[in-house]
Amino acid sequence: MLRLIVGVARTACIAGKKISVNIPPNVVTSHQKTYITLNSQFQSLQPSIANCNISFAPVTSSQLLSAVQPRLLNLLQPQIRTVTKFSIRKGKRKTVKAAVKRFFRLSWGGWIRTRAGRFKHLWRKSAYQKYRYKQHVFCNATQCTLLDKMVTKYWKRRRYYVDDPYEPYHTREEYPITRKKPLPPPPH
Amino acid sequence: MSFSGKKGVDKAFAMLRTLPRVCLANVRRNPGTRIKPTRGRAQHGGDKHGAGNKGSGQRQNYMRLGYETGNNPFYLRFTYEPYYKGHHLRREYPPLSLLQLQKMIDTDRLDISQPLDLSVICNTGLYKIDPHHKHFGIQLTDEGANIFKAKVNIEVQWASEPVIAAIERNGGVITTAYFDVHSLWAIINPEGFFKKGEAIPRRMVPPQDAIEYYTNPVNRGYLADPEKISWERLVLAQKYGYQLPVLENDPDYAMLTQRKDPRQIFLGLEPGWVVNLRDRCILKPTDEQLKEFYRS
Repeated sequence: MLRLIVGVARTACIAGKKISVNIPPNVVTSHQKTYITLNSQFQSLQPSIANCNISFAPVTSSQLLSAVQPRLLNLLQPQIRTVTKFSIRKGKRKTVKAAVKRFFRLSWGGWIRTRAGRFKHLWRKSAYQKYRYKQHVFCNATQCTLLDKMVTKYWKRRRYYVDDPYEPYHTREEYPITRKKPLPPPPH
Repeated sequence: MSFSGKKGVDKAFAMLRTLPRVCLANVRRNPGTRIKPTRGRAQHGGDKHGAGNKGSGQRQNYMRLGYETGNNPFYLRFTYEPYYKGHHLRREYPPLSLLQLQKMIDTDRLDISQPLDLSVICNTGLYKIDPHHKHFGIQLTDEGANIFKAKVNIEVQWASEPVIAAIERNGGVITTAYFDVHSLWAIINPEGFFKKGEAIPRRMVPPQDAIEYYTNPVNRGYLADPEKISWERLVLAQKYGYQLPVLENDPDYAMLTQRKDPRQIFLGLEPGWVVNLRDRCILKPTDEQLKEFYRS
């Protein structure tokens, strides 16, 4: 019904413009013009609204419900992609789930991601480009800081899974600047 | 007022009385004071209240994290990747290296004349697990496997092949055992558990995805057939090329063959018993139904 009324209003406006063109501009001011045109138009439309009601009558309630239901679900569970700083119930910070679905945090604070467009138009991309799409790459420092703000401490905890494919990447003992443990003593 | 008839102090006082009083209007400013060029028209002198000039900052409409003013934001730009798939269920096993274990033994934190298990290693205070974080026990790693020299009877929750080889090469014995969460809370802090005055629970069987690991003799699982385990010990010795010490000839044979029952949490204590630390006694169930329950 709501849509129907909006549609009627729109037709009223269009018809109103037509009438206002017919009235000479030197007779009425613009403000008066709109008032007059709308008023006259509603009077003229009243019989047509009644006609519309008769034509839309046989829609059943179940049909209407099924049409509304997906939208209703969206309203009940709106998609939240931004960070919640204070939740309603406990006043806690919340994780941006969109970030956790796309990125992975390494224990040393770096984040890795996949590459954009890795499933798109593969037929026209070279073998080397497809090879690069299979790789995961690091985010830069600014992006890492952003992602760290988007997640809670749950995601920053060190994980000790067995047979973890990411296990070698959680530490950076290979490089002299980033190493944390002291070097083993030299062999005698 | 005239000063004509007065002299000295009187005259000076008379002159002072005619002079204007000291007030804010005729006091000179402090040296170096900044004088504002214009008179401000608001509470803070018409300034910007620290919010800057023009734009997002002045209007204090702080943009949401990651918003790029209309661009496809960086944090939404890529496709999904199941990096964290099943993170709420996956079991974690905090690692303990053979190097750390050897160091604990060398510094007398562990007594290798007794079987080692999770509670003994937690009691050193050098290894911590938290069942809240889905930690399920020790994962013995092979760091320092070459310098590991102790002969131990150890029970861990996860061990790799080189670790098993390193322990059995020295004449030791290793078992991998599963503890469910309630048993874990008891075993990582035995004193705290006994103080609660609760009966020692039964240890539950491993979940479906772990039962294969703990029934496999290759992993020295606690549910595996002992004869198959002794066969696998021989196989591993040949694979890694060391002479397997014969357990039966060992002077510590009794200690090395000690094992927990699959339902048992503490060595020497059975499920259903209550340990009273204050009276230094153990209370055992007498009811037949209770006995039946804890035996099953």
